[in-house]
Amino acid sequence: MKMHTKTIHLSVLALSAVLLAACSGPQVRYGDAKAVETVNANYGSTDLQIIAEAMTRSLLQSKAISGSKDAPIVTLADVKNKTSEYIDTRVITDKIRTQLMKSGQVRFAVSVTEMQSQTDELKRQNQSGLYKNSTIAKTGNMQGAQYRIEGSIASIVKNTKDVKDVYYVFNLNLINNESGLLEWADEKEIRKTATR
Amino acid sequence: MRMGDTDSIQITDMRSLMRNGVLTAQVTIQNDSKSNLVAYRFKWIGKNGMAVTDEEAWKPITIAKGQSTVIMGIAPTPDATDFRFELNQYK
Repeated sequence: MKMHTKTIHLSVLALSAVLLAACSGPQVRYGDAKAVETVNANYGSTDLQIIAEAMTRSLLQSKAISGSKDAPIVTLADVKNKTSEYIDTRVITDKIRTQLMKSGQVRFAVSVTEMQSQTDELKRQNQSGLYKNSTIAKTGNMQGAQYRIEGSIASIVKNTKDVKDVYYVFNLNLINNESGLLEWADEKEIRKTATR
Repeated sequence: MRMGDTDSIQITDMRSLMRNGVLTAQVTIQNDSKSNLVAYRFKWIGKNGMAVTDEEAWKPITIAKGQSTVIMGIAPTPDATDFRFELNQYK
């Protein structure tokens, strides 16, 4: 009897130890998407948010946008990544485009990267013969953009044994498609320093 | 509005004006006691006190002791008529 109770006690102890270990293991928690992120000195979510917000607000104040009677039509062109890191510049311009659309002050035309799906859809509606003629979106009626947005992001990285200093500069331009003139330009500088 | 450990930061001036149809706000903050890493954001209020946009991202700023810095914010839409300034510390 005594042996049995001893083994039962031991197994209960072992089981509870295993359970406790499982409870104190890795946890998952939702964080704040807008919080400042300081994991390392590389390009991060806070940099993306700062850049997109600064560029959007500045663009809304430009004469081309605020001084125009109707919302001007803009398209997104390329933002070159001139840094040594992998940065998805498309995400930055998409963020800017979303914020500008939400302001209601700008209208956007499909960009070069989205043209394929636009032409596919038009082809489908016009050439497949499946759609009622009065409801088709006809080819030849697309609106051209008056302006395009393009820019670049560059960085200067300096490293010593103890310090890594990264400086980003993001440049954005609004170009008049017809006249080729630069209607607005702005830049955003960010510096991040990591000490070991 | 303050969150976290930002008592050493004084807000010495707050002003705003309508520029190009959009509300522009300017806040001057002064760091009195120690070098501090704070983050700020603006909250834009429209008619009836309703917020006109989603929460902004927190923007970090480093202020040395005794330094006074001017922070400018531009509203995201012309509907904003008022603003709130939020300060938070970041690690």
